[in-house]
Amino acid sequence: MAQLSKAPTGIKGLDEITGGGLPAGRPTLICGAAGCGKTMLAMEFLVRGATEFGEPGVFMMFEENAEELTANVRSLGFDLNKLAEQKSILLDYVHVERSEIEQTGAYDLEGLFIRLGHAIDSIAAKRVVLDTIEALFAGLPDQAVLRAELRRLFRWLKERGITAVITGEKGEATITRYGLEEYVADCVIILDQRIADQICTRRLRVVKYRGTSHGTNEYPFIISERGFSVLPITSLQLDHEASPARVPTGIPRLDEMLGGKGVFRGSSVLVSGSSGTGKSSIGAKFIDDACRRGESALLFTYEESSAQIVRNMRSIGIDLEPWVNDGLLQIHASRPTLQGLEQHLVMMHDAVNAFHPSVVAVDPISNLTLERDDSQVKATLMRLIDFLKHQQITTLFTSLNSGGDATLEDSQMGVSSLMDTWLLLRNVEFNGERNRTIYVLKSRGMAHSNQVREFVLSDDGIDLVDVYVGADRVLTGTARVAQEAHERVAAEVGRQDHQRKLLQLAGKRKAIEAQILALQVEAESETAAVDLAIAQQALHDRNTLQSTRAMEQLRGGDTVRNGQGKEI
Amino acid sequence: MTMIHQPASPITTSNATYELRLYGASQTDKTLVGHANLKCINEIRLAGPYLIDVIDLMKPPQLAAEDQIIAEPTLVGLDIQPLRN
Repeated sequence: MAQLSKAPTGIKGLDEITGGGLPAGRPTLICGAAGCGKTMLAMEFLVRGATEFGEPGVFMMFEENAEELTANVRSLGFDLNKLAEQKSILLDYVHVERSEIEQTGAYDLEGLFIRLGHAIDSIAAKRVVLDTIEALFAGLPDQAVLRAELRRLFRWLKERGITAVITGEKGEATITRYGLEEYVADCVIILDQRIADQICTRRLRVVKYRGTSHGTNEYPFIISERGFSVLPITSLQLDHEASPARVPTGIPRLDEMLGGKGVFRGSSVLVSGSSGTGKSSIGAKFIDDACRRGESALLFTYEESSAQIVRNMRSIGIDLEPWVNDGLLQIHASRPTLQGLEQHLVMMHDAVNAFHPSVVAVDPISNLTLERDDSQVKATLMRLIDFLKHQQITTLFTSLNSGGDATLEDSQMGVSSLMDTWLLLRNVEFNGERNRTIYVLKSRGMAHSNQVREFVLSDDGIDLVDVYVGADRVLTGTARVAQEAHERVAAEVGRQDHQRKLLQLAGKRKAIEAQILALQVEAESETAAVDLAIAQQALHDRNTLQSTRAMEQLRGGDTVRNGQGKEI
Repeated sequence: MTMIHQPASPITTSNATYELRLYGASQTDKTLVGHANLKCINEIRLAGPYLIDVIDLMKPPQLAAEDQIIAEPTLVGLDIQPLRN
């Protein structure tokens, strides 16, 4: 079956929710209470249609006149006069004043049809906005005629293949005050404006969309100088790419702890710790390093103004000002209480879409979530993180942990599961001083150090130092320095002692060698004595034998034989 | 039939001539009936001479926008208070 053809609104989040836009060639009803942005949405639909999709449009208004409307939407960056000159938009103000009209007998709204038909024909319009046709109910007393005529009007628009947007005021029990939803049944969008804790949040919901699937949740939106902006639903999918590329954190020793190369591109990093642990400094260094590499960066700050951040970071040797001047860095500073979390997220979304940074830092994210329901915060944050991951933007969030050391690992928003890398900063109070330590609590997909490092902020920037891990405790700060000095002395003493031992041993060996020599000499003299004795004996034997023979000869006796009878 | 009184329009009849405009979409039944009724009422009720200008909205369609016409047929009295039915 062919997919229902759709007319894109050009409003990115809305097109995602509706799967491509409003139903083409059919009327759509947009309703909501006064001031919730119906006219703005309708106008943006028309302007984007004319400028981006080549579909001219007619804006038929019943409440404001053309001049008022033109002035109102100029704040959104739409120049209606120019578009009207180009014949891509036609503004038509229908004046209906109850006190000027008397009715009698039978009549119909053919005049309006002729008028609209003429407007559509004169610029070959594909889109029509009727804002708000309910004014007719106030202007014309005969509702029976009006209802019949409206039915005819919407049928007529459908027949002409016009994609129409009809706005309607919210009613008490019904979707619209005059029950327009009875006639416009193809697509109904409700805009809503709610106040919670004195903070207003605008929300949008697609109540009905015939013949197509659509997001049914409520989606927060804002109206900014870039127009209408709906936070889309990318979190419904978990299909973002995973880049093997690494992004350095700006602190070489920290990169070393993270498998030697830093974090993955497009991953999310959470830096949490209690106040004064150096979270913002890590964030600033991360941003600074990205700019140094020539990448663009976006910093959202909810505690300090941008000038204050630039000044304060200078004290640790990070100068952000040149990057701001070069246009590589944008700092968005605002108060968390300015608007609700959703609106903040939409705003961030908007800024990211406009600037296309390669890294983003949010300092701190915990401020956005003051006294909020955790599950809601998590859902909205998830949307933001997913969106950033989709864009392959590496993001660093700092988070303030309140409370004592015991709760340090309790991320107060429950967002830690959304983070790929979690750095935990903590203060160690010992020996009359407070020192900063850092460790990698988790880092998905890479071997990371399990060591606690001391985190040192100085004029030259940030550095990480090995802490002293002794037999019974971890030492930082001056205690570490003292311990190191102590160890150096001990090592020197040990070395000298060792040297002395070596000398001693060498002397002993030499003495033994001398002894060996003496014994050898003795042995040799013994050997010589033995030889002499043997020689003497042999000589003696021979002499004895010779003298015996001489005696025999002299006596003339027999030859002396030995035991075997042989002659000797 | 709807009738519109336009106080902003210039007064064109100084000698008490009622100048009326009847807007209609071509020759529909409603327009024809409206026209007939109007003539009848004028003959009986109006003291002075009158002028009925019947305007077909289909011929110059921009007139509907210029004269703020939405219903059909519409009678516009150029210098009279709205008539009651």
